[in-house]
Amino acid sequence: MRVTKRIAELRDLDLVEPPDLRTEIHRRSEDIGPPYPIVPESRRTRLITGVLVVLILGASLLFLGRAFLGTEPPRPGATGSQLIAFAATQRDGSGPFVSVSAADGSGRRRLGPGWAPSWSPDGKQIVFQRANGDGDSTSIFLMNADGSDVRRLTADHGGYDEDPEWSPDGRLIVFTRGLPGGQTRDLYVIAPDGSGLRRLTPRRSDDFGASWSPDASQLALVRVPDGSLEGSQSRGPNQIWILDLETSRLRQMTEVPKGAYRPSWSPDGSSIAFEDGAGVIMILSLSDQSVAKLPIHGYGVDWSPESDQLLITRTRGEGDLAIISLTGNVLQIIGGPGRQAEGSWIAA
Amino acid sequence: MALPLDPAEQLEALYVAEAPRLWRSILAYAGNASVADDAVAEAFAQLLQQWNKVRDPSRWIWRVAFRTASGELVSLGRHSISVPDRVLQPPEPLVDLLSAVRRLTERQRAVVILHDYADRPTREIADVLGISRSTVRVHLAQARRRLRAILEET
Repeated sequence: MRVTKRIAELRDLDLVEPPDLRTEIHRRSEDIGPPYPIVPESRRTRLITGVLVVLILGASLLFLGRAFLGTEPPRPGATGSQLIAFAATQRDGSGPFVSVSAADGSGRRRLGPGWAPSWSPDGKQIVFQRANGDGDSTSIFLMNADGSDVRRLTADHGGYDEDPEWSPDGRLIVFTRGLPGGQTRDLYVIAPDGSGLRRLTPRRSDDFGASWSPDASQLALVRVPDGSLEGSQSRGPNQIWILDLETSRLRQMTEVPKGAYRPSWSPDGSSIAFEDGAGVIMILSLSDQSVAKLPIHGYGVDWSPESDQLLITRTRGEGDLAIISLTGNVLQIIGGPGRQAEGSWIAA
Repeated sequence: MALPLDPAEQLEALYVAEAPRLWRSILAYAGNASVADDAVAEAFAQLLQQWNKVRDPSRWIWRVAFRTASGELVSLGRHSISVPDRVLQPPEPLVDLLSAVRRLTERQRAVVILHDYADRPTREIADVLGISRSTVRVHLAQARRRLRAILEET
């Protein structure tokens, strides 16, 4: 029997009857806050009906929306004179492997295990994320652009070092660190030779997914408002903030209703691309802080060297990696065996 | 939830909508009904304090409950505390499958349960576990590959 069918049998967990925890919640809440408001059984039935109606209406709207939205045919996009690095998973599920190809998808080469690659500004090295041991922790690694001389940049601390990005001046690499058992994430920088590890964000806040400004003086990042365990997700969803590295001043840049994730600063400095909580690609213009919503779903955005196109990992439609225009038109699909994700784009 | 209800009704609606699946998810993740009871009860009790501040209670409750359960597992592992657990009899052939799931690493287990049982999207799983979306996808692929190998052994 196929493993996917066996995994689907997890749904039989629905046959396990959970306990009614309302009394226990009520008891605990008396210690820490107002009593838990128990709703009479007759009203519970009405509430369940209400929830079901909302779910059915939502599913119907989703179905109708998909039925009316088409997919644009791919058009010629970037030339083969630029390179992309990305994470590739093989058809048999093995991987992911950091891989490189020309920006038109030709000349694809597999370099080694890892994901979330980012080019050094001179294009000679790649920084990436790799699992340690059994895979429950990850560290940051470096290698030459041909896959040689792989070296560890951060130690295995049992947690996650993620999403590295090389600074445009080549001096530092920023990454997200989540410590084991920790409730928040922090941004760190480290020099490519492994020296100068430094935390940039306050430990109480939950900050992650940073991208450098072109002059390497600022970082765009994702911040969870009041990001302690108790306060996480409170006072609104994640938003894009900018951290000035000289003054340590933080400015909130977006107010996106569904939240904002994984910013990418354009090489010309004018814009920050990101995805919202529903996976829609958006572009923040830094001149007036306006946000343009593109008609395409994806994540892991990176800019073309000329700041005129985006490389995204698609979550709907054809292909895993796609080059799109700044209005969301698909210009080129970068396919291949298996799956490709999270590209990093550089002038060759 | 966008229902025109007063806070008491909203909390009850959230309990009805989320608590059973959340409890079963943590049961499969932790392999321990007491940990599931504790994590779910603690998350809902904490939500009371935060109710006026939390804009997305559904996502919040999953995050807090899973992180509470994860903390308890770390504590149990570190201090070798034996927690008396209720005897549950999951339906066949779920017993074999859960046994295989328990041989995954903690993160692989969390991701496969949240994705393949609880139907949470990868974006939300990343929020719940505090890891990147790409890492969620890597864990999911590795969990499925390892499950295949374990299930083929048996």
